Amino acid sequence: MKPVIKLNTKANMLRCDDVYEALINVHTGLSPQESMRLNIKLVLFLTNHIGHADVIFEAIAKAANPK
Amino acid sequence: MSFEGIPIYKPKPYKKAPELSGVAGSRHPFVIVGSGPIGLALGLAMARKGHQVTILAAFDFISAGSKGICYSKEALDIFDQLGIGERIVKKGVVWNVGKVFWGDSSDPVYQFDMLPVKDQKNPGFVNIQQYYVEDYLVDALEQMDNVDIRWGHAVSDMTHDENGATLTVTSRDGDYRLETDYVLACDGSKSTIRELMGLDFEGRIFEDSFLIADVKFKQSRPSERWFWFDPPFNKGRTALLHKQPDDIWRLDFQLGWDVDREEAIKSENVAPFIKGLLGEDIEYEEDWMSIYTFQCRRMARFVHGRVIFAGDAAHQVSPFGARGANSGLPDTQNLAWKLDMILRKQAPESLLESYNIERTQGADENILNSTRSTDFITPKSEVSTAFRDAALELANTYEFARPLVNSGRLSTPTPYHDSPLSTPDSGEFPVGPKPGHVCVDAPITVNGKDGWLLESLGDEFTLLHFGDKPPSTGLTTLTIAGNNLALERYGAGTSYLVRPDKIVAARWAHAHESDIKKGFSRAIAQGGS
Ligand SMILES: Cc1cc2nc3c(=O)[nH]c(=O)nc-3n(C[C@H](O)[C@H](O)[C@H](O)COP(=O)(O)OP(=O)(O)OC[C@H]3O[C@@H](n4cnc5c(N)ncnc54)[C@H](O)[C@@H]3O)c2cc1C
Repeated sequence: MKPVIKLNTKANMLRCDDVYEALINVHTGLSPQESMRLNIKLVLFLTNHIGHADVIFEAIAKAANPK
Repeated sequence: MSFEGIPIYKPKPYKKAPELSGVAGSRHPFVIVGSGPIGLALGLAMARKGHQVTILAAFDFISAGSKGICYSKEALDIFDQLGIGERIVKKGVVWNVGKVFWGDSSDPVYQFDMLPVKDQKNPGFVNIQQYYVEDYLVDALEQMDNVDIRWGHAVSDMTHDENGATLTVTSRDGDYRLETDYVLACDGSKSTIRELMGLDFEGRIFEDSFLIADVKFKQSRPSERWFWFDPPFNKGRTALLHKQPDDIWRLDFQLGWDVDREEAIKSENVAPFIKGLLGEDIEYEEDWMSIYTFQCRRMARFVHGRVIFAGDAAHQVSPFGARGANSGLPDTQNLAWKLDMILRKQAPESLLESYNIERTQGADENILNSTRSTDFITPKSEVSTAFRDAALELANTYEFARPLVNSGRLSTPTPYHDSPLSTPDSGEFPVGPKPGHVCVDAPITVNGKDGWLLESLGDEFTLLHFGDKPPSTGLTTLTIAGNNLALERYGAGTSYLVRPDKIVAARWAHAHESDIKKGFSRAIAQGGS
């Protein structure tokens, strides 16, 4: 049996202010369409890095309905 | 030559029905309605098992025109079982590699191999015009004396009950009736039988049209499937190129939804696409131009008492992935052995329900795959277009994004999960096809002769044993000993109970006769569940 991997919803990152700022700054000067494309590329990189479909599905569900 | 706008490949002889000359027809065990690849393949499978076969064909010709061209390895294995596989492979164009291009770059962003497991008899795909396939099936049928193909006889009405049906058949000499125990409806996406029964056929319609240009030219190009997203010769849309036999190539261009069909296939409107793809100075002849639109849908059930649906009559998919005929052919192979055993009273009639379960599952997987491909190829929203373009952009540079690029997931066999006919594994099997999965091929030596595992499995249930001490059973047994690739693919010492459609019904690390008996009973729906 493969271990079930859950989405980590506890604080898990040092330098979170730096990351948050970088996520926003990279959009400077972009149109809404360009921003969307950039966000999607980020999502694709990160989902692949995470590499566990169940974790992604859980994140999608929680993002769509955070409560 | 054409008839009501349908181009004719080969005329076939119409004959007056004996029923119209005062000969009282006897009741048929089954009647096949439709002479497309599915009706013909089902007829041939049943004829080879010794049954009297009647096929009703609405037209008295094999039609030409642009239909299926890509036949999968699974389809080729089925054609092998029908005795025409080698003829198809010989005539066809073999290919395994597909390339995907984006924009005006001449380097592919992604490339795939349709036959990742090498050393199998058949290639990943063969391209061949559908009329050759139909013609070869008809040739094989015509060589048998238990086959009656009624060219130019169309079903126009039907009454049915739990014992069978009465078909009204319309021919140029008038209408007549046929009594039959079973109706095998292989009458295509506009199925008359389905409509006469008022049955559902639900799914998604895709609002897009495609220009299919089959053109003839001589140019040396590799036998590969080339797919373009947003090429300069069809900006913002897609294109596909495939090689067929006889120097014919299939070019397929996405056109969008609002097109004037008549205008779109005029030579002067087609030329810019063809020259855009092949180069300004290409000299070509038009073979057949057409426009198609498509849907992804299936019937809720394929078995309605003694009326059974197969092929496009039961399910329809978008062409991306070549899953039309390629998924109808396994229907015929699945149905043929079950109906054969039922007619011989070797299996209960309830075995038919497993055809319904297994093949609706197959259709769902095909519809899922072809719907996803279609959504990637023709995104329906701003966000889905942005995802598509982002995946293509990243695929250029990063390996991880390449598998996301979906230009059609080409047809591969659909496993039957949780089939009532399968015995779940007990114990661990590090390798080998699971119950419900199709057998993998391998080169083997039988009686000192080189051959292939799949073709050595006959048309009946077989116990496949990998070792030198096969368990004793009443079943046909194929023993593969020695240190070879087959053992590597199945595991030394194992035994597999293989159905006539080459699906694994059960397997054992150390088989006992009583387990094999139980597995066999279950595989033919005999005794409890
Ligand atoms: C452009 C295009 C490309 C395609 N490419 C591929 C591909 O690459 N690979 C692939 O696998 N599939 C492909 N397909 C799909 C493939 O052509 C179909 O899935 C296949 O033809 C289905 O076979 P069938 O026998 O179920 O139905 P059909 O081929 O539609 O045959 C039905 C037959 O029933 C007959 N009939 C209808 N009504 C009656 C009646 N009342 N009485 C008697 N006879 C009747 C018809 O005349 C016809 O002969 C493609 C299709 C198109 C249009």
